[in-house]
Amino acid sequence: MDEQRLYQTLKQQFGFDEFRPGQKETIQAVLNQNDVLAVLPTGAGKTLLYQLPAYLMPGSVLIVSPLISLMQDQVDRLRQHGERQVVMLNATLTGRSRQQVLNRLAAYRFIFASPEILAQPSIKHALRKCRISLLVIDEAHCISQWGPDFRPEYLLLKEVKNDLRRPPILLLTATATPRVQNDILQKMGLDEKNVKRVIRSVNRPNIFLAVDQVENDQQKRQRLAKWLHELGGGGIIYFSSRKLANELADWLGEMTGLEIAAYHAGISAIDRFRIQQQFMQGQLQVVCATSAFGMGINKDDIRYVIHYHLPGSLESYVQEIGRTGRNQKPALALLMYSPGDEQIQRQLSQIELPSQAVVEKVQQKKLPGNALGPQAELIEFYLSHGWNYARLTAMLKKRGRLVNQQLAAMLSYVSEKKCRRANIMRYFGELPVDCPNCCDCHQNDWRLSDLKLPDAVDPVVNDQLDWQKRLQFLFAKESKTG
Amino acid sequence: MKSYFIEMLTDQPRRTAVLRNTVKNKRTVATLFWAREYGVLKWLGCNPRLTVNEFEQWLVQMRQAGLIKMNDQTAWLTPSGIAEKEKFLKTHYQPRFGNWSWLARPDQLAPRVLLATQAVSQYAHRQKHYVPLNLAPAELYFVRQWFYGNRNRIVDDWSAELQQAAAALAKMDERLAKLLVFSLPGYQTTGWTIDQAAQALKISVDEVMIMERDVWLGIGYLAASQPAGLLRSLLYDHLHDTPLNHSATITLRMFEQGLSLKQISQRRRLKLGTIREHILEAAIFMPEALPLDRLLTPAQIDRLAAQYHGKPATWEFLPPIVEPQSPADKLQNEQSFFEYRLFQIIKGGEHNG
Repeated sequence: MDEQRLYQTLKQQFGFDEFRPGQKETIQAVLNQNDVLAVLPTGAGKTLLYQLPAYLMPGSVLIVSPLISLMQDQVDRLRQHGERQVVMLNATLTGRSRQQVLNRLAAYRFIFASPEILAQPSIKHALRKCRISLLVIDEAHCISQWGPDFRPEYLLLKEVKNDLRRPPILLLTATATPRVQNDILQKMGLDEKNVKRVIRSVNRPNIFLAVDQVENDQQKRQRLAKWLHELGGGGIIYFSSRKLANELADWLGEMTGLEIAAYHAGISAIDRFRIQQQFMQGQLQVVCATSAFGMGINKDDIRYVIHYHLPGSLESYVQEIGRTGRNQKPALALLMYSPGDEQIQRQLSQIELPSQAVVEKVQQKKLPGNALGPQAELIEFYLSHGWNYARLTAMLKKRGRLVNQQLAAMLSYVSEKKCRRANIMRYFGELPVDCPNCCDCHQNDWRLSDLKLPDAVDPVVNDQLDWQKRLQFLFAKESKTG
Repeated sequence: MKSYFIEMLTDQPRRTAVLRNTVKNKRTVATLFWAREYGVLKWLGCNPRLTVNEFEQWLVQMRQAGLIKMNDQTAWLTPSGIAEKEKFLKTHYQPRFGNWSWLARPDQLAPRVLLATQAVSQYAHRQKHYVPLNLAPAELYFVRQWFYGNRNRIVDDWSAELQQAAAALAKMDERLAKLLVFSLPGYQTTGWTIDQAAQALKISVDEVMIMERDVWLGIGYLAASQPAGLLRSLLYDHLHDTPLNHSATITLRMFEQGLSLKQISQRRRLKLGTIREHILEAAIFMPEALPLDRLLTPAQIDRLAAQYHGKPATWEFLPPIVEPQSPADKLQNEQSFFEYRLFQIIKGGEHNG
């Protein structure tokens, strides 16, 4: 593939003159039919890595994604750019819609799919009739049991690649330690000697890292309101629960006068769409999100990310703070911690081992699946693939130990005294680098004004409630006379 | 929407399962009969996603607040509860279109109208690149076909129909018009979220939900009454002709054509009990459409009138065979129960006026 054509496509399809670090070599490797593992930090432009090749290769690109919200975000962006030949295959596609889509699957340039749907015979059958020129595994770390977001359905992808007549594979992730990288390749059945690795640092030098330690939850709330007063709009606040996201969105809105909305799975799909678009356009100033849906928000000028609760792992933390400062301007990542916060994560990540009797009863359909406890989905997956109780127990105990290790790493970040950036980089197998405006360990009396964050933009508030004028505006029928 | 549930209670015991199933649109004859008796049919399907747990929790909260008492499977308002209900009725928006709840499901009408408006608005402003509402592929396809099939005058005609709809809603309550129009996505706007609507209109989120239901049922009514309009062509497959579901409608048509219930059961390969349920449902919603003389003879009516007196809601069925011994006995009791229930529904309708 000659470079001129590559840059032409970059400009014509995407409006860019240059590639970001790591993009060009990844795309060239893909176009040369190589398997590629790309570990690029959040905001590095991973979606271009498959979108650009799609316009230069025949047939369809199949992108596997673990979350509907992630898929929806990618689909929305493609549609916004005028791309119509894009479809999502997941559990929400049913009935007439599903049949229509499967009948014309080969006509789509981009096919997004959840891993579990790829195991369905009707989907496999439809895909075999397509020419899949590239198989993309987004969030590839989900295949690794050493990663925090392990999804057993990803283990099925090894067979999927063979079913599709072995197209080149592009594995994408923002966070993978060296151990997880090797595990990804091994689980996909790929020979690491034949896979090109494009690895970029997790470090985001423009993000200032800080932890605000408080005594209790009451103090945390008051402090959070104070932070928002000083920071203004243009940020995301992450919570571990929907209830708290709702509650704090209301309360902070009252306390600060900022336009704030909660964003999580309990909000209707139409309202989630609205909130996402309003935030993108600056009409909403702050979003209070739970982590799964924080990934649906994609904006270049987010000024700060605040974590109200401790995430379960440094991988999650780095992914989530990666939402900020994509425009390379100064940004802030603030983690708020009060003693005992780790208990929330321990409870959320609890690994309960059901008894053998319970497992057998579920297998015999004498008990419903949820009798297996919070890990029901994971356990049912393994049972359906022939695992016995002893093997299952050993695996769950291993997961339990891993969860504790990840939480310990998160706590070590919180209690870090020398350099938070080095703490993160060591965890991901990187050597630490010097960084101006690094973290609160280096500048323990830091102030917001020191960070020189870009100014917050005030939203345009239109509080006129004349419905007739609004209708006229919607359909470009306002009076043109003065 | 749970704050509105208090309106379904009085100081007389009411079956909580009936109230819950009414709200969830679980349409058994027993639920519909009692819902009509209680005068709560207007809440039919107002919260189809309500879980049993959520409803039980609401009852617990009401009881803890001293607003209701409960016994067995019934609940009733205490004097504080009655006062609270009266205050609620005065201070909260009251639904207007509840009796049309059978016409359409608001959650099916809304997405299409919102997407259609978004497309037309962007088109009016000559915008091609925008993020469309994320609906299922079949819905996106449907709206796209509708747009291209009507493109010639779509901006003028669609804006005129929405103007007409908003004006009709404004006559009932200005806030309904505002809620419709300001929820519409389009050029440079995504429309209000439910929280933003509550804030702008200075009402509770529950009130917004009830108003939204009215807005979309109102839109459905307009679409149904204007066969040549764009609204109708956009929504026709989501509009129902009768309050009965599709299967019950087929049963009723076959009955009107002269077949007996047994014949209908055999031809449709459905249980006789199911066919009887269809007829009973028709008796609740469309009694004028039922040829009653084919279901109950004058002698049967006289016999039933002699056995059952007073308010139909207070009757208890007296099976002719108290201890059925054979399948024939069971069948006789089932037939008698059907006649009893039908008579009770008819008389209940007369009683309720």
